[in-house]
Amino acid sequence: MTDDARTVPAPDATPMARRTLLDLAVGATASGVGLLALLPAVRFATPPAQPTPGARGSVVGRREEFGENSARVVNLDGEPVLVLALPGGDFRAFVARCTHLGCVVSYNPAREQIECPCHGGRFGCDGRVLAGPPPSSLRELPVVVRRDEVMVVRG
Amino acid sequence: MEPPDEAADPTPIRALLRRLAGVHVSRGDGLTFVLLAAVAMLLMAVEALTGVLLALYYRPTTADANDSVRFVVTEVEYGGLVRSLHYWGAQSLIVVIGATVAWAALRRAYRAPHALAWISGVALAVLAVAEAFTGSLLPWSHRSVVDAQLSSSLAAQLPLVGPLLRGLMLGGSQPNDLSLVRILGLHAGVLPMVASICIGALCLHAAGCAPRHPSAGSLSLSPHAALRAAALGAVVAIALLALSSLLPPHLGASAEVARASAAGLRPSWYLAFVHQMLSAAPPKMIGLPSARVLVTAVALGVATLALFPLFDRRASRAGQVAVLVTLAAIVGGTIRALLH
Ligand code: FES
Repeated sequence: MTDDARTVPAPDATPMARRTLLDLAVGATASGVGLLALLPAVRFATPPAQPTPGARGSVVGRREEFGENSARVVNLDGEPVLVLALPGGDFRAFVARCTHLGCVVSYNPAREQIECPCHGGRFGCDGRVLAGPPPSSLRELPVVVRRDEVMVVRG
Repeated sequence: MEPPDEAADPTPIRALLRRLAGVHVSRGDGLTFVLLAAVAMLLMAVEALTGVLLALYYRPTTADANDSVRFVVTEVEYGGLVRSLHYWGAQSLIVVIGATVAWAALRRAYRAPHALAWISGVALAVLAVAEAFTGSLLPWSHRSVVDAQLSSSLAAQLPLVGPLLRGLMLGGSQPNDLSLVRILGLHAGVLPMVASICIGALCLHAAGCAPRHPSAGSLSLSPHAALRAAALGAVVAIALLALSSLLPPHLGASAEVARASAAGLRPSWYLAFVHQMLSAAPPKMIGLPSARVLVTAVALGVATLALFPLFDRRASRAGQVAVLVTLAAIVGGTIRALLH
């Protein structure tokens, strides 16, 4: 196959250059106008931010409902929270979204680890990464135990 | 040969057929492309038709979507078959378009004057995957919930536009009540629209390329190539029907966004290799979270593949090797991930 399209000689360099310039100007104007029109459309499609509620505690259960070395994932206003009852009787809570790509994590009591099913991320009971691709620790939330009620504080 | 006199034909259909009879394709590559394109067109028609039918009952809210799909499958006459055809048609479309792109790469059909066709073809392959994927979210099963969350996080890893893309797709940073209308809009509106632009470009290209005169080893488009395409189409249609009636896609129950765990789920086959790469990567690469690096690399890779004719104007051997290695990596990665 021959390169017939490119072997045609330009009759004169100047009109060619002028045409390229014209092409460029038309192209730039068209894309500029297009982008300007796109901007309000993108803004429109982005829902307005909802005000985030201030710090508050949510009761997630009574102390005796948690067996020792066990955990449960609770839904706090659409956010999964892992409440962990440690072997010593202490409580810790983490946002149960893996820091890799946000899968919901769960607790493996046999290994005393928090595990992510998506790409094998594993975290210690302190939320630190032990293995796998997650780049950072789980976000911890303060836990308050008052009159046998376990409360997670967010905000 | 004189161009056929269209004015002499009383009906536009006959005029068109006579014109097509004058178009010839080569027995080798030309016929292969005609056949692959015909199968792709057939599958797209199946998708469009069954898609419109499914949309008649679909309700795009997180509360109703799963029940509305279940209603189609369990109550509506032929509902199970229509959904199954839509599912298997989409899977086959990925394979057929993927095979066409691979074939074009083997034949170096990205060089001038085919650049626009190559770009449109790669875009169509990406669109086929995007359609299958957005479609898998619509039933809002447990699996859809997990996939919506995971894929939007993946999109958010792209530099600059990532979080914006996620916001546009979901209407928030997590799947919520706005999400399904948007996903449906992508699946049934935006993506098909982009696809039809690509198909239009391909048609223009084909019309410009097809030689009008018979030569040694060529075949007339109508009726010779068309008959072969019709025969192949019939075989594909029967195979699709058989597959759809024998293996209806599973419809899982819905799940709460904040509690849907991915435990026990496998990624769709066409994204399996991306997930395997993500699992195998260390937490950080070149000082950045590995997911960000990998997602950016995959996006750049696909964009480079699509725009390849612009980079490799001379259509060098090395260029072809690069394209083939990329395609082989995708195919090999997929097979490996599936066997894993
Ligand atoms: S999302 Fe948890 S390891 Fe990938």
